[in-house]
Amino acid sequence: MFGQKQDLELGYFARGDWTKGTQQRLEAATGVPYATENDLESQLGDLGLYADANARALSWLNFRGGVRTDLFTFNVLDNCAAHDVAHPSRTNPPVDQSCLTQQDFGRPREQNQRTATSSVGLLPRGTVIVGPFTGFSFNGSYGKGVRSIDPTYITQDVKTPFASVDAYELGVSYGGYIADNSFIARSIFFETDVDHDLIFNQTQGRNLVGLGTRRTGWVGAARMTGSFFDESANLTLVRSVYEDTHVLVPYVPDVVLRSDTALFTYLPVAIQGKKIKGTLASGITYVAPRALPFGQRSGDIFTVDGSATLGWTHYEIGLVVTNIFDNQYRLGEFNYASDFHSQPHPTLVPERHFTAAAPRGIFGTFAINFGGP
Amino acid sequence: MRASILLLVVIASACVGTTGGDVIDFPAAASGPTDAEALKTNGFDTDLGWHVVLTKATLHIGALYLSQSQPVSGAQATSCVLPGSYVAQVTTGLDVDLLSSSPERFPTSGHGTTLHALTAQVWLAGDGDHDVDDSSDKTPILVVEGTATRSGDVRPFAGTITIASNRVAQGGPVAGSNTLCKQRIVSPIPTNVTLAHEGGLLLRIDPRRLFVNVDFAKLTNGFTDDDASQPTVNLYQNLHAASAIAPLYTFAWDETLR
Repeated sequence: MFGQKQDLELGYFARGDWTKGTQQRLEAATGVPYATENDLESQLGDLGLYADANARALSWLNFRGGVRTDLFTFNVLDNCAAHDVAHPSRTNPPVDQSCLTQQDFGRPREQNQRTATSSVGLLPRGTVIVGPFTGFSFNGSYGKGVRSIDPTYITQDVKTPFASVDAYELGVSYGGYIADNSFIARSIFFETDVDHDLIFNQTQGRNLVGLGTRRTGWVGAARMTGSFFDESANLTLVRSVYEDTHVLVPYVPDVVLRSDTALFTYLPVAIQGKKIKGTLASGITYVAPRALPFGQRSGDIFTVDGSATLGWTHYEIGLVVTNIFDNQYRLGEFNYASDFHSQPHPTLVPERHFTAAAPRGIFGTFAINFGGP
Repeated sequence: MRASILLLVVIASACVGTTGGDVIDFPAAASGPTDAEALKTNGFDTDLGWHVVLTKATLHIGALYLSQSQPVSGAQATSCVLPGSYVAQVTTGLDVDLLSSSPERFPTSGHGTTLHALTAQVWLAGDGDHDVDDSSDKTPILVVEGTATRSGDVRPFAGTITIASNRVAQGGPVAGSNTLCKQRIVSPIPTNVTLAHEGGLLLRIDPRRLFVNVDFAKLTNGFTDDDASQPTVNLYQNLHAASAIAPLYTFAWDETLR
């Protein structure tokens, strides 16, 4: 059609998840569980049908797009369904049980309860690609996606609220050669709107469904590959805000930089006629200070990892060093209220907490590769 | 060069903004009412017609807390700690002279977030290494001395109130309803305070509210540290008054406090 090759793809996707999860609080000193927060057995089904097309109107103009519809089914057995009761029995009130066997006015109930529901999501997407012109291509995209929610939010026969994502991109990419070295690069401006984003909750110690957020940013990536080196780097800048208040979403880094470099060559040493291949590699990571609750900022993260390997036929030995400069940095930083009984009266106001990152690590490796060229 | 500058501008713009609020340390102080000195010289009249002149009135405060949440009233058992997020805390104790209007600083700064507080808690507990539910903590909480007069009936009085084993119900505490912390924590006190970078937290305590419905005619041997008589019971109950109308405890953010 139009003198161009056109593509159309129809397909389906099926996935089933059987999960069991328990969340308990443990005594700091003994490790004995003293409260059960969640005890769930979940069966989640996802059946998707999709149509995908690649329409080439001209040699330099492509339309890619499609639509997908997903049926999500949820079947959740909550083994700890009742955590509180508004009007307990006066003669036998629950004291410290996590999973109650009592409902209003002391009427008995079982600890567990099953809930099941299903929902359908319609997910369109489309991309326009203009080019390439002397290696440059320009593209604009829109897509809609959904994210299945936490089983704890499943309510019997109630339409399950997906976390819905609208994503927009506008970018330019280049593919070509520079001084006989392969070079590809791309620059993309993006925006994603999530109506119920997952936000880290320090009380629960996991992500919970929260308010709508918007992420606006830019990602730049480049990779150059030559006969003795391979360099890949990318930089992501993002501003992530709540859609209602426009304040920053905590824990999301604004700037992330990653660079991976490898140098490789055959050494002038041979065993049984086969040369030994030497490789030096490094990985550099920088994460800018992250926004924390209550207007705070975390420290930044800067690490350099390195490795050196010698390969001969299918065998490879190496030395890997993580955090080469032994930087002392905070891997995770949080702002929340905690009380470690460090003083007579409790501390109930948010304070800075952090988990220390690992120090320098030195590892030896030995590998046998099966297959391959 | 231009590209580098543009990149720096983009990176800088990505690293701006805030999640809202701020974490601060602030001075905290407590005192009697603004006319506290007059309570020693002129005295005041109670609702039962007694004219009271105080010569001494001190209150020991173990800690102060401000919270964002306003608990919903109901019949259910409640915790001594308010639900939701706390905005501020002052965790070192102070003996407050209720007959002085000059704010007296708590020994250490308070710590909090620049958010709005709807309720407050006053912890009437000692400073030692005691848990708030420890019934062996016999720190004197309230000490009063003075004279009450009505129609020629002159009643000198004195009293020291503690909150310890003497306040635990017979047979021990019932879960969720009568723990000692409920006796020691005055909560929730309606409050309208927003913390800021400048200023400090000021608590004023009006000793007149301690003598509401206290009938000195029934006072035979001063205020005793128990619930043996009507005046003693009412004095102790008034110590826990968390009413917004004619409050005993009034919190304010004082921008002049340094």
